[in-house]
Amino acid sequence: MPVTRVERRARRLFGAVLHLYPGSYRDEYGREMTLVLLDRLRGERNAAARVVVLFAAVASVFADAPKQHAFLLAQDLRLARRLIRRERWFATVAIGTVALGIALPTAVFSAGKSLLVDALPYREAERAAMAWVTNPRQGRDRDVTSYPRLLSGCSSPA
Amino acid sequence: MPRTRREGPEPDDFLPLPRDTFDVLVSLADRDRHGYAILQDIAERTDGRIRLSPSTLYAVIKRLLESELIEELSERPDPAHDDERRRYYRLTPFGRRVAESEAARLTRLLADAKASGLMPRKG
Repeated sequence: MPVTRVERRARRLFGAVLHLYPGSYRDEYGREMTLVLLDRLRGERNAAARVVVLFAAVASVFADAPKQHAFLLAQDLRLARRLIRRERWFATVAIGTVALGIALPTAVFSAGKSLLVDALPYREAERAAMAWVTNPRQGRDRDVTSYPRLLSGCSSPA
Repeated sequence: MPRTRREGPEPDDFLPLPRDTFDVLVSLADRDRHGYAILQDIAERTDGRIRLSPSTLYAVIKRLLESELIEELSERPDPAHDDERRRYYRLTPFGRRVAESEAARLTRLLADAKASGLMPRKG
């Protein structure tokens, strides 16, 4: 049977919409679904009816595709649960490794960000300054001092 | 008496069947069909009231295949008069038992409806 222009367009549109399905489902049933749609289009007498059939088929894919994704996800989760139960030690080590792999970079990033990037958690933090004192007795140009000494104007340790 | 362990699902485990599922099983009860033939048969039996979309049909077919209520044929029943790209489906013996159980359930429901005066009795 010759393929009409309408059929080519329908095939193209429906083929694009089929990408909403999971790949495995599309590979298994996509071609058959397209054939059935083309058969239905050939069975309609006028263009308006064909348009209705085409859009109903497209809408149906939009409704069904999320269900197939959810079904596959549930299937994968069931399989994972079975494997975890069967290989407990392996699963524990694998899950622990993944947990450490996520937790360590997260902790390093959090600490680095708060120390190096974020502003200090004080009001007018940009005015904060570091005070040094000279300590000739010990030969230090920059030495720390206590707050009371700093206030009393003492610039070197006793 | 020790309890016997069930080998697999029983037909009643599948009941009540969704309408689309039952329609597909009924369509395959008398002969093997491909997808479009199933659609046509359902449309004819329901006077065109039910016209499944391709996605609905193949969602049902996938469920039925996974539950082993139907099977896909490796050979084509009528190679001279069909499209070689099509897949044909057949009701399994277990699928037939499930369809029969659903039919019996619907018959009982109908009998109850008649007994309660919801439907006119014949004769």
